[in-house]
Amino acid sequence: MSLYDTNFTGWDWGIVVVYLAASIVIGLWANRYVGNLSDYLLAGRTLRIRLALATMTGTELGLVTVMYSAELGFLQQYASLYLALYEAAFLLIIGLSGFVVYRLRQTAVLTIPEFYERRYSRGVRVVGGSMMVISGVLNMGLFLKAGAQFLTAISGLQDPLYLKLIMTGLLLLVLFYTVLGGMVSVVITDLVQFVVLGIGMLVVTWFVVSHIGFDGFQDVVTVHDGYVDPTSGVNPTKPNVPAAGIGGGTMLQMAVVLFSALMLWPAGASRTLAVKSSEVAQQLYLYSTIPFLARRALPVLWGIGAFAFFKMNPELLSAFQSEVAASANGEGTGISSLSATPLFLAKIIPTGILGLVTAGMVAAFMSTHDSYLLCWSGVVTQDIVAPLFGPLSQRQRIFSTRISIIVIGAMLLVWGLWYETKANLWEYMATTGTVYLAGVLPVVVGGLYWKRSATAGAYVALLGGVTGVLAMGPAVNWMNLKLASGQVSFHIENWHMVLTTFTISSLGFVVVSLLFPQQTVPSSHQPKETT
Amino acid sequence: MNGWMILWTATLVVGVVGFIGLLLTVSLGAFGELRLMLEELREDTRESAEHPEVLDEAT
Repeated sequence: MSLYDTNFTGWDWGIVVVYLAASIVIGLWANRYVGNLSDYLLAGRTLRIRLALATMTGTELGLVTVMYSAELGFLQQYASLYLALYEAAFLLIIGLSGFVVYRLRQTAVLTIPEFYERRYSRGVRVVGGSMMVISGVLNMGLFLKAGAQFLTAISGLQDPLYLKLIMTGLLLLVLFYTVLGGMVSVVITDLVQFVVLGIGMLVVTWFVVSHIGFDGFQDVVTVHDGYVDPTSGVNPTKPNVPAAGIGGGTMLQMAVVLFSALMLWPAGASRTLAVKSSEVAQQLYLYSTIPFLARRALPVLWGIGAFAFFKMNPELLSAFQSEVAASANGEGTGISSLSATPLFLAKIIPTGILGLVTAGMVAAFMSTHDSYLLCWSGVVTQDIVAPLFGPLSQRQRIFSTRISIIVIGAMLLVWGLWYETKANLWEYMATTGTVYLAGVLPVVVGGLYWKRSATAGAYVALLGGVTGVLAMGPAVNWMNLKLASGQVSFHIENWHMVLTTFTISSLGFVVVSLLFPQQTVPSSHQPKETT
Repeated sequence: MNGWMILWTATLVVGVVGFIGLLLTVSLGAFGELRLMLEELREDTRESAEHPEVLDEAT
């Protein structure tokens, strides 16, 4: 058996193509239900709980989530499951208390930056919207590459050119139906994608467990010395690589990032704002506990299965490691540790079913991209273009949003083609997300719960988030080189910079709000729920 | 099996079983909700067709 052996055949390609064609038809059909701006951006705020759950799950259970969770399962085995527990626990807390999401939905805003204007000022809205888009596009930068790596690995295509062609083709497809039907298209396709993806995930889990067996999963710990305790900073599979471990600092960083993201990540928040009422918004979070637990736990299980599989097949492990090393030097087929799980699945799932599973994963890819594209584009129109160049009619706003979708899509394509990250995918996403989350957390929480929150504090908090770029790999490496050249023994880790960014933004918000209090509280910030 | 492995096994079992339950519950009810959503949106499109000037009002 060679590394690129796969059960993926013409039949499987056929199934995927039929599924993609169906998405185009849905996009065309949904266009007839877009009557106004609210329909285009929030599906007219008509979502009830089951549909909201399906679309929330479809959006947040993207192929990129599957890929980075599986990658973590492959690299850190059972220890990486702490992220699944975090998400479930935080969603339970938010769902039971209604913290932030209940009051945010009561304000009846279309976007989070719109809340900034009501609570603070128009300038805060423009700055906050800009920060959100920059962080969001950076965050999405590797989605395309992750999706394409999955498809190339599972189908056995080795030519890097295919990677680029697949990235382009999938993006064009998503752009097509999102531009046409907006949130209406997104909700309908999300529901179909939720069903296809859900069945696909269960099928994959069945084959992984059947192939590896319960003994095989136990051997990961007892025979192969797998990583089990996340509080330990040493990964027993790579004891000499400090960055391969987790440890208390990284766990604290992830707790802060995840708690903020679950409440305030724009794509999730747009579901909060699209539901019929504040009560449904709170329920949505409570019931999302299970799919969010599953979106992490199941792919981690597949990644652990891939780890066990490669350990059982040392010749394949050796070939895989050689390919990854060659790719890192720009000579191989472009694979990384992200490809381990799809390469494994391509060998254990039979032809035909592999096509269904791949269609499910393509569904996951599209359901995330469509929502994210619409979300960032809506912010560009509502919170940057309209405040700066308005007033605009609803027709002009829909047109501006469509243009923004295309522009952001083009940027993603360029970014996805040339940016190479040395960190694992999840670390990259957590870091880029910090640029936005560190600022939005104090500004929204303070705005909703603290009367002394002030405009000056909001500016400082939002701009403080920019320090999050210092948590990116190249910046951390540069700072460590400077420290080393100055004979300083302290070594900066990624999580130091992420936590510093959150601290700067939150402290800055409180201190500056107290020093420069709001002269007049905008009258429109009072909650006023509309459906 | 140590404490960590008991925790991770429970996490995986709850994740899989819960996801099956959710998939069934949501799939059975969501298509009905989709129909209701489209009916409500049809009202919006009808209103927009009758009063297209609303779409051109700058705000």
